[in-house]
Amino acid sequence: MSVPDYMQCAEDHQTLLVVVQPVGIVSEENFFRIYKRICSVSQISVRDSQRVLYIRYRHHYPPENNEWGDFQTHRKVVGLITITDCFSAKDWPQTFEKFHVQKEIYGSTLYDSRLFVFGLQGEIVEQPRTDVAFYPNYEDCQTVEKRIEDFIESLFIVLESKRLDRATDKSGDKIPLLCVPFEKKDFVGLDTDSRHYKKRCQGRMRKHVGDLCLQAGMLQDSLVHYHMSVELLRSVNDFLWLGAALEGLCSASVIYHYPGGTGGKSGARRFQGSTLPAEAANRHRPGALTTNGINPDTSTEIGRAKNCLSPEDIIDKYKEAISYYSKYKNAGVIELEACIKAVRVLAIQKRSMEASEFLQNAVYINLRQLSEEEKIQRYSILSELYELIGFHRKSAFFKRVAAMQCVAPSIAEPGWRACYKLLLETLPGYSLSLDPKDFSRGTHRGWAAVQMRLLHELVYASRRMGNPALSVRHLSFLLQTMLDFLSDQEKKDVAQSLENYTSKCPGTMEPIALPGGLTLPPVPFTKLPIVRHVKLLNLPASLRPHKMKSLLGQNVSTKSPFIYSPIIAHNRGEERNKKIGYHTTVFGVFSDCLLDNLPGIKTSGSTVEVIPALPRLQISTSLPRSAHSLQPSSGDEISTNVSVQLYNGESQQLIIKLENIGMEPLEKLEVTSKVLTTKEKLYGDFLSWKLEETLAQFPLQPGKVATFTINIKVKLDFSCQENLLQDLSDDGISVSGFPLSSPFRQVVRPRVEGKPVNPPESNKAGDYSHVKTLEAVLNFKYSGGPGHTEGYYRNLSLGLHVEVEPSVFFTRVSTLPATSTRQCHLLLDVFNSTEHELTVSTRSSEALILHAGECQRMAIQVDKFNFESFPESPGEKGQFANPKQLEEERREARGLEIHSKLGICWRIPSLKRSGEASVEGLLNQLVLEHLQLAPLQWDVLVDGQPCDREAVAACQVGDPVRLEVRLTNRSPRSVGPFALTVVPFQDHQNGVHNYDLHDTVSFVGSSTFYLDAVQPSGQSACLGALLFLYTGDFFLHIRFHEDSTSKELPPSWFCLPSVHVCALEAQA
Amino acid sequence: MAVCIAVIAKENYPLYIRSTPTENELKFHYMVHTSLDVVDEKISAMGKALVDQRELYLGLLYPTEDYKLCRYGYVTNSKVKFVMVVDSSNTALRDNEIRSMFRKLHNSYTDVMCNPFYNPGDRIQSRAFDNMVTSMMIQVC
Repeated sequence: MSVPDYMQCAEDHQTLLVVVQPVGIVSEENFFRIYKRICSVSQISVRDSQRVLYIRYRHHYPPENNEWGDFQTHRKVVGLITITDCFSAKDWPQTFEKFHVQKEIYGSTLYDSRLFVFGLQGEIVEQPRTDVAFYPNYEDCQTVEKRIEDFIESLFIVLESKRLDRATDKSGDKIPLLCVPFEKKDFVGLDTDSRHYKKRCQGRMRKHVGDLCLQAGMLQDSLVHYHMSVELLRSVNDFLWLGAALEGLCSASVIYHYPGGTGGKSGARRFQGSTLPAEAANRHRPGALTTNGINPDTSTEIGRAKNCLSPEDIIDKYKEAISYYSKYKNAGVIELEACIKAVRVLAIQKRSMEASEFLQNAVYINLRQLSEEEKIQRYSILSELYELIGFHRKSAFFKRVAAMQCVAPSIAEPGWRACYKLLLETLPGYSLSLDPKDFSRGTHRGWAAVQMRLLHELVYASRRMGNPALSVRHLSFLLQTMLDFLSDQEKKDVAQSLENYTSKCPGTMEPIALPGGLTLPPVPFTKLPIVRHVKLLNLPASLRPHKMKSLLGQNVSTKSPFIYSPIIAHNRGEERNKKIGYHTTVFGVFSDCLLDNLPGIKTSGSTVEVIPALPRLQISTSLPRSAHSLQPSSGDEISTNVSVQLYNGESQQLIIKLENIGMEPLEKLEVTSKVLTTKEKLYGDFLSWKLEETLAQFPLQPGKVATFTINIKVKLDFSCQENLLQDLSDDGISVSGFPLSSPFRQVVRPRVEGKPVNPPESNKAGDYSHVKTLEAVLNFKYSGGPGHTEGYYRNLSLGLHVEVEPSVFFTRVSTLPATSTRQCHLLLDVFNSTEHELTVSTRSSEALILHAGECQRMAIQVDKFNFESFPESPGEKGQFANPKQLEEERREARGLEIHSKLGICWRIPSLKRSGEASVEGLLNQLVLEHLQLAPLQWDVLVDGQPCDREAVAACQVGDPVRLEVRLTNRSPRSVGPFALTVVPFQDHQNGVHNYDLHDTVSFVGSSTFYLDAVQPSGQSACLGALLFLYTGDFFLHIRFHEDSTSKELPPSWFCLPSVHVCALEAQA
Repeated sequence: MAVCIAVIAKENYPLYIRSTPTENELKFHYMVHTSLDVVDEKISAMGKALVDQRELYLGLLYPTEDYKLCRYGYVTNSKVKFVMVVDSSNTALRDNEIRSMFRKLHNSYTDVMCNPFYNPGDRIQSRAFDNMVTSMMIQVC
């Protein structure tokens, strides 16, 4: 006997062994279906008595073990059930023959046998047979259980008869010597008549009867027989059988004490649903003896209660039995099984220490050379038993040994899968969890060396299993959790092999489900790299959402009828609970590391508020991007900067492409601009746009583009205030004075010499310093999608950097009275500060060509302006603005008026660029006054003809010429009275004015006129007459008497036209 | 001759483990680890005894284990365990000798605990303790 049954337990001693086997070709599925049904009939209450019969079914049983059946009857195969397929009557005899052959194998010990035939129909089936049952197929066989019950009852009858037989034939006949296979040769030639021999025979037989009683459900009887047997055998030192008798005693006692069974689950199952009959049987046992009244021998018993061993005694007897067994090398299996049985009993008694001693003993029982499979089985069972007594570490140790045995080099086909499975089962024993979360609390405390070894083995086994994902996961786990325990070289090795594995199968963050139901959670590398500090950074300004303040209240009210809704609050809470982490790829393993799990960081947590999605706007412009960043004082974060270089006065269109690169439609857009403070004075609108055209393209779906045009117009001061240019007015033209010489002759003389004012070098330097910079920020506020309904928007800023190069300068401005008092000449010294040829033109005049660095004077005849007609509402403005500001505003308005009227433009033909030039900044008070239409309008009429401009009034010598001076008062106050004197003179055209004309011109009446005071918007006139005595060209200069009244008023108000009279010879 | 000396924390993880460098260190890890089953069992059995009567020395843990190595256990009142693996092949150590070795170990461990810079539960890295263990591993042979 060499094949141990590691599943044995004490209560197996009371079972009858029945072998169920297929004959011929029966599919495994069908066989086990029937086998299962047969197994369900595992205990039977025998009809006439209260006894219970237990059956142990095996579908495989080595016949050599059967030979030990006399030694322990539960090892004896007493029943055989064969299952066969047979589809035709022709095959029947052959099948039946096979059944008989099968019977032969266990033939010597069989009490009875059955054949279950499936598939056969017809005549044969009709004949009733006790040993054969026919079923048409595997589905239609309801009577299987019933058949088995009958079969067991027939077994019982045989058993009972044998028991009675053996129990009664005591004195008369010679008792045969029962023996185990290896003893047979030892007894050859022994004296069979000796007392010693007889006692031995008796003892062994007693023991045998005890076994039979136990099997037959007569526990008390068996105890008595065992006791007697022990006494008999002890006296003859028949140790092997003494051991068996002691073990029988133990088994019976165990069955008595532990009706729940000691075999763990399988044992419990045996009693499932039938604990009641078992207990009932127990209850009736005391009376069993008398009711049966079979065995007079048992009357010599020493009291029943004493027959049964106490729990402590059971162990002692087991120890004793095992020590006897150990004397026989051939009884190794018996000894091993006895140890296992004892361990199971001790496990129930919770006496782990003693159990471990039994197990220790079992470990050292050397059976014959075991096959690899048997070794695995042996170690697994040892592991299970250690687990059973609560020695988890020892259990894990043996499980690991079993796992290693699965892949021992001597095995042709290593079972990596089984090895891996067993290794996984050892994890609890080494208190190793595969969840990295369990390692996040401080330094790891455990058996690092042992655990690392196990992890290495897991990695290796999973790799050999052909599951790289698994090995990557285990290896990452090893690296993450055991990092502190790895030496530098080991770290290197682990990292190296991890990289090798991940090159084929990258590590993921997916949990890996194992077939056994275990799930390997992902292993984020929170220790590689080490995170020391975490800080939340805000989104880039262009992506940051802003809350529309006004929308908040609105939003809540639209969503819910309640002012405060707990549901909304709850939702917010959920959003807040989302964890924050970061993503890494280390050695080919992708990790999502949550900040909460980081060992080195103690944050109280960071809160990220997540709002509904908003669209994303991307801006591209027609202008090049610039590296310039705006002044630091700008405050806003600018996502893009564009720059452009313009000449002063030039304008350019900036085309902006708005692309929605988000996932939500862009519904709203607001554009605002902010010009950064500059000391430059800026005239006109720097930036202007029409948003309507763009908004017409809205809502902008994702991926769509809209265009938006902005006009950039730079108009800085064209004067050159502080600088540099020498005064061109070296010809002595006075701005303020009265025109002393005839203005029409003074018409602009182009300064042809056009010399560069400054030496070239300094000129250039000057140019650079003149480049001025304007900066502005365009803000695009946009929103859309769900974020819009929640009241959020985004703000995208575009920085605009404009470098303004000087185009033309007005180095000097002055006025000259025109011939008409209603007009005047504006004299502008224009300087071309560019390096290109430049033309300057006005609305009315021809283009003036200026070379680079050239300065020329241009005169523009302009109608004087009636500034007083500008709408003024001092009542409104005056309250808020001080007079100075008011004055400033007025001046600006005037400047604009003048500018629009003049329409001065420059053009650089070579660059094809053009722009405006504005005089707004350089008009001083004096010039303005000159350009202003005086509120007193003077008209001089000669002979009733208005005399103005260069018109020459003609008259005849000798005739008196009527001269009328009219005054229209447009000023808001009354003026006058005035006194005027008319002074005639002759211009000799050489700078000499001849005022001595008393002989030539005579006044009719007084040469002095008087004007009365004129009320506002009133009119007044004074009349006089002149008499020219000689022909000639005369000029009349009307001069005011300087008195107090006239001094109050500005001199330009008294600008009277000169009168040119040509006296002709009287016509004949 | 002690071939392996280990100090095990109350929670059954090693605070200190040292074995003769000539042999496979992992083997001793396994050996000490599995011994803890018995230590636990002995302690739980002892739990009922009165504190002042309690014997700290646990005696032989696994008597007839392979390698002819015997493991002895010792537990302090704070449930810190000492496990010693002794090579019994050349010298038969008496129980008293083992006891005195454990007592020395306990004293040295107490000194470690008295160090204000030592955090209970951390691995023992004391040089004095190390030297003492070394002396015990050499001493008897």
